[in-house]
Amino acid sequence: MSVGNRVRLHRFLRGELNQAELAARVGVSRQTIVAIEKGNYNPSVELALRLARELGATVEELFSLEEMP
Amino acid sequence: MTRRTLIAIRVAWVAVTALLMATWNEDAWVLLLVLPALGPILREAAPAADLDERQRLVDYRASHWALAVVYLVLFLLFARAWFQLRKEPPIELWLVLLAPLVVRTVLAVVQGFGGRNLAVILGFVCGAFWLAFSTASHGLSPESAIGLGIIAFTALGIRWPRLGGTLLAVAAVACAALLIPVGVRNTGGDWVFVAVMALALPFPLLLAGVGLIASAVRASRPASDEFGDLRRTS
Repeated sequence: MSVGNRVRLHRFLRGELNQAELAARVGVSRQTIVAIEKGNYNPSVELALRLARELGATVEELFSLEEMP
Repeated sequence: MTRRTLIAIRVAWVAVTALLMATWNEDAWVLLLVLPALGPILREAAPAADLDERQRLVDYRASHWALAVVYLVLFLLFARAWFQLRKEPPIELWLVLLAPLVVRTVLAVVQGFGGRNLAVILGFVCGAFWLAFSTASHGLSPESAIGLGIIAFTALGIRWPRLGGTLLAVAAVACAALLIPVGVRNTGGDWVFVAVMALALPFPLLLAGVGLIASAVRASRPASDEFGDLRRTS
């Protein structure tokens, strides 16, 4: 199982919010947003909740468990 | 502290060492041996507030890689000393080998037990040690009150860690101020004996006091993320 994410999709659904702006709003670096979107880093529950709040989605809409191929 | 402050502390340490080497004694370079131990201590005691959770994770992993590289170089230096030069490695190499091991082991124990628990145990052990030592040599005497005082301060620290920690730290300084001059006078300036004496009581007391205060300060800060905060939750 791996954690998939749709942060990038929701970022664009929120009016093409850029990575730097989202990073500033949730209090992390832009590189952390890049790492999350690429699936290289799984955020803590707190950060996932903050991302969900800023993107107007639920945590389940942003992150989901996916079967490994 | 910020990441820049932590870097500045390390740079200042190197600069002061270089200054001491130039103006006082070339052997002052041994102060550089503290650097591999200083990093992990700073990281645990004062995590950089401007790093987010992923950056702290990266920082933590980088420190493991740095340690691995240091030990690879040490392995080569030890191998060279033993097999090529056929002599014992210098004491400084042993210090470089042991200092990070000791520091990381202590930090792991602190994280596992919890800083406050460990400080309380240390305080009670110091008090009991003093009480047993003074009772065995003089019976119940005014000196026994010092041991009882340490135990009482530690007990206070369980409920009020800042107060108990401050009292223990003050007791440590008072013990050092009383014991070290007496030790110097009685031993004719034998600094090894004085150092052992300082390590036996004032230093652990100071550690217990600082540990209690630090745990209280840490507990008052909100948990920033799941990785950077290793406080016990139960």
